[in-house]
Amino acid sequence: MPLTQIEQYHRPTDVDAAWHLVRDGGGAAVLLGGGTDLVVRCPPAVTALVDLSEVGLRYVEHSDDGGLRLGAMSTFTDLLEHPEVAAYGTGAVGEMLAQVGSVLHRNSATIGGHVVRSRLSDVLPVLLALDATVAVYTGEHAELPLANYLEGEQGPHVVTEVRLPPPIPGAAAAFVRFTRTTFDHSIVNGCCRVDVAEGAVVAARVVVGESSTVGRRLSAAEDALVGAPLTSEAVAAAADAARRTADLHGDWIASAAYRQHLAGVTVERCLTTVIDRLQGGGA
Amino acid sequence: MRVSFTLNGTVTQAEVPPGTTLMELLRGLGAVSVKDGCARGDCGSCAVLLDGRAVTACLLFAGQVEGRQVRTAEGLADEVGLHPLQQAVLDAGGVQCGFCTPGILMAAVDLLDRIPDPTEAQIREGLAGNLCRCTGYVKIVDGIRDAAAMLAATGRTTDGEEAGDG
Repeated sequence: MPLTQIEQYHRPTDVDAAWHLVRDGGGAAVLLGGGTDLVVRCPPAVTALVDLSEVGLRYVEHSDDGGLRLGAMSTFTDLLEHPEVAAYGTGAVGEMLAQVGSVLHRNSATIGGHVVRSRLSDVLPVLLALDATVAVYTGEHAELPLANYLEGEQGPHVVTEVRLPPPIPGAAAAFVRFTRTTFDHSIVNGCCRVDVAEGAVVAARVVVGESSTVGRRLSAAEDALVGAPLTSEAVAAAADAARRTADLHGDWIASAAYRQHLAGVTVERCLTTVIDRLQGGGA
Repeated sequence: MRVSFTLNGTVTQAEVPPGTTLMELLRGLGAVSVKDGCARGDCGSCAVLLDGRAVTACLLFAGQVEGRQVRTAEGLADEVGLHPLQQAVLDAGGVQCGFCTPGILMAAVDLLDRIPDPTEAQIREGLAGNLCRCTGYVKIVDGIRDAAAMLAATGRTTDGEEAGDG
């Protein structure tokens, strides 16, 4: 049963043409990345697809400042097989990508499409913890923090890149997820990044998510870490803060109380791995 | 809309409605090894190779293969006989009802192209997106391991080419 609502299929060859098609189409035109989510959840008002395959957004390049620019049409497999991307964040990006969906999904799903659709994500908690930014085109190019992109209402736009900032010396990160089976959605997931200078934590990111949300930073857990050495006592305090403040919901997979408990376990395990990675030389 | 792509080595053109999925396109062209199981990316029965990598054909639009290479299970056997992977899975008892088999074979081709000598854990990870309700997977895993050994022993790739730099 083809999606009979689709009447037009566009294949623009540059970003500006793609943006004009979605802008002029109003809500009737939608950008097509990998397709993995759009095919099964196409909004009823959509009658035109704007396929980004030929726009030239499938690449990984270095930024002038030493960071990485991930072209929006890069698949998760492209990124997982790129040594620098997989190793980014002391390996947190690679360990996350290796657990996203199945290889069948990773071969199709794109990083840009995932950010735009913002659903069922193991990816976004890691990108949030690593201070990723999003490059968007709206007639002109702009860059904004991923957190701002996810919170704000976006008009017609094309996500062209996800950017990872230059690695921070003395920083380490780790990702943990809990699922029923290897390629099921996460019951709880999380990523922690800790920046250490002269023996003390100078910055921390503690992000916890669940299957129906994109993850959010837990400031109480971050505050429990900053300003002191990253000891097992500090880890326990941050995990306790996460357990108290994560505000996760219950459903048929897991109760809210169980998810709250797992939030603490997630943070504790992430931070324990972070300590190991810092002792191993950091980023 | 018109879609032009290469299907199992043959340049192919088709005229389809713009909302057609790749699974529907391929089945309409007679490649009925591409099974319509869940049509939402959960079961892997429609797995095909797109430019050499296994994807769920139900989660792509037909237009996304424009100019690209698609390989289905129809493209595995040749006039001489079954592909070594097909023969090994068959011999190991990895085929019961057979509905999931084509998708599993294509996921296995992707796996063996990347990892010619996979561990059991790597085989199971490679098949994580393919559901089988008959076998319990043990015989399928055995068959893929046998196929890896057979391909290594004969110095062939999953394309039937001589393995090597060329």
